[in-house]
Amino acid sequence: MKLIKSNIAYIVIASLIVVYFTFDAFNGIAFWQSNDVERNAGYHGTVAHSGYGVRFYHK
Amino acid sequence: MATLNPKAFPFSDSITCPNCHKPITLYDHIACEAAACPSCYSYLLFGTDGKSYVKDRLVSIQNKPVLPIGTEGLLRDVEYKVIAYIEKKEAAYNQYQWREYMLYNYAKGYAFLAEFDGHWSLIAGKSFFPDLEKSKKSLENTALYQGLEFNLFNSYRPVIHSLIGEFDWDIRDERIKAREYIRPPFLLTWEQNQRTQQEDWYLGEYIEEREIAAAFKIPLGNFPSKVGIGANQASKHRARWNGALMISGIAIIAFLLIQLWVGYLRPETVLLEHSYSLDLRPRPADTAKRKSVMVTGDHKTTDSTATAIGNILQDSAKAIDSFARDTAGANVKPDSAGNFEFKSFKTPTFKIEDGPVPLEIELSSQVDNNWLSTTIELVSEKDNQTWSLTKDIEYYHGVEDGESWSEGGLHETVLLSEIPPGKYHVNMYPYSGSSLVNSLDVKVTESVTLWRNILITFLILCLYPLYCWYRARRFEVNRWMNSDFSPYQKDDDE
Repeated sequence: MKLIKSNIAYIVIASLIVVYFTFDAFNGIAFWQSNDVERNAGYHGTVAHSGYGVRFYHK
Repeated sequence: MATLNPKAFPFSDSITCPNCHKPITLYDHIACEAAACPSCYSYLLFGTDGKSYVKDRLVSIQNKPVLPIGTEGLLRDVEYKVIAYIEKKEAAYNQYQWREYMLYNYAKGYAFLAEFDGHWSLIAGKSFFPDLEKSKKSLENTALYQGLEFNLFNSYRPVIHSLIGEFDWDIRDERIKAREYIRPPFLLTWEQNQRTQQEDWYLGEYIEEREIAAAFKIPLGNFPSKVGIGANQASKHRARWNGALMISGIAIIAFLLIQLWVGYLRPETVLLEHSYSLDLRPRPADTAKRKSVMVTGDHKTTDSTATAIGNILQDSAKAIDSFARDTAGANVKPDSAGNFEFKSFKTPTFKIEDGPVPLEIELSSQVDNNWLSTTIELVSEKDNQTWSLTKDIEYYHGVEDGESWSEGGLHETVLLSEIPPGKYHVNMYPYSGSSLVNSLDVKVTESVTLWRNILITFLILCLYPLYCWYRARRFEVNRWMNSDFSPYQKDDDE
């Protein structure tokens, strides 16, 4: 009890940390995913590519 | 709460000082062998006939006692009366001075309250702690009591500066050699009388002045202010460190169990594993040139002739492209940047059943002193949402000055976060610094263990215990600065 009373603030913080990362684990959230991931909302049509990361989308 | 029992003390008695003829109150006259007059500081001894005589003259005391002689109090469930006050100092270092209050309990004997720089310890001998006789010194600056190790903090010869009160032995006749061992908040003191070679052990415990003030009903303002850190003062930082360590340990174990549970519910599953051969892509610049030839021919000939020639040229261009692919690496030229672009390809469709999940794409290629770069595009077949990035595989090796070296590797992984359930495929757009690279292995795994998340959680949960450890260590370093036996001496020197 004494341990809990004297460390109540840290117990709350540690619990929040565990809850936060548990939420991440259940939602597949990587704290660090690979760099430079570009997320696009979606497109329609075919994809052409010129290389070196430059893409053209043709409708 | 226990109340003070005045029967625990014998009746007080009064004698007259042979020097100044002022009264001296004695609280245990029968056992008293020596006393100091609080008026003239004559040191009195009692002969076998019970009469006192002046053996010596003392200097006056330097500080007014916080606990006046004759004060009674109940401290830690033991009734005490203050019967003497002694000012002591180290023989070798006069600046180290401390004060001792001799407490008397009729049933249990003597205890001491020692004060140094405002830090107090309650000290008692074997009449309070019979197993003290089993204490022993070790060769490595430590002592053992009840199986617990105490560390040597100080070794000195105490000398008496002045005193008042009564004693059941000739305290001025003592020549003491002392060693203090600490295990905060405890203090183990070994004393040897140089005249008789008798050894004694005492056990002390750090005590806050407010507890003493409450026990003896002394105003807290009368107590001296604390200076620095007491030899056996308990470290609140250490207590915090212990607490933080335990809480973080429990949190880490809980988090690991949750991770195992998540791993059980969503095991790692390989969705796709395939090796793709890489074909060189025809360069757009070459095609434009060929089209230019066709247009030039059109101006110089009739329509039918032009059509025929155009067909021939188109067939020729196709043949050249086919030859270029077949002889990739031999005759194919790189683009203006010196890179070879391969045909893009699309993986078969795979399905993520439950999500969102982390998705790992592992790429492997047999590059040798070269590199392969590819743009990776994860495409959701439901709404064409994409996640795209570029990844490089590089592997270089060689021998330099007789030593082999290598850098990079043949594998790279890509981690994508929070991918919702659904059907997906991956588009790849590879290019390389060499036309000899001929394959790219792709492996897609869902619900991979997020080791970085686990590592970050560990690190975050370790931050506060580490901070507490650092503060606790600083506290100990400062404590041991007053000692000649500091285990942190080397650190201080650095």
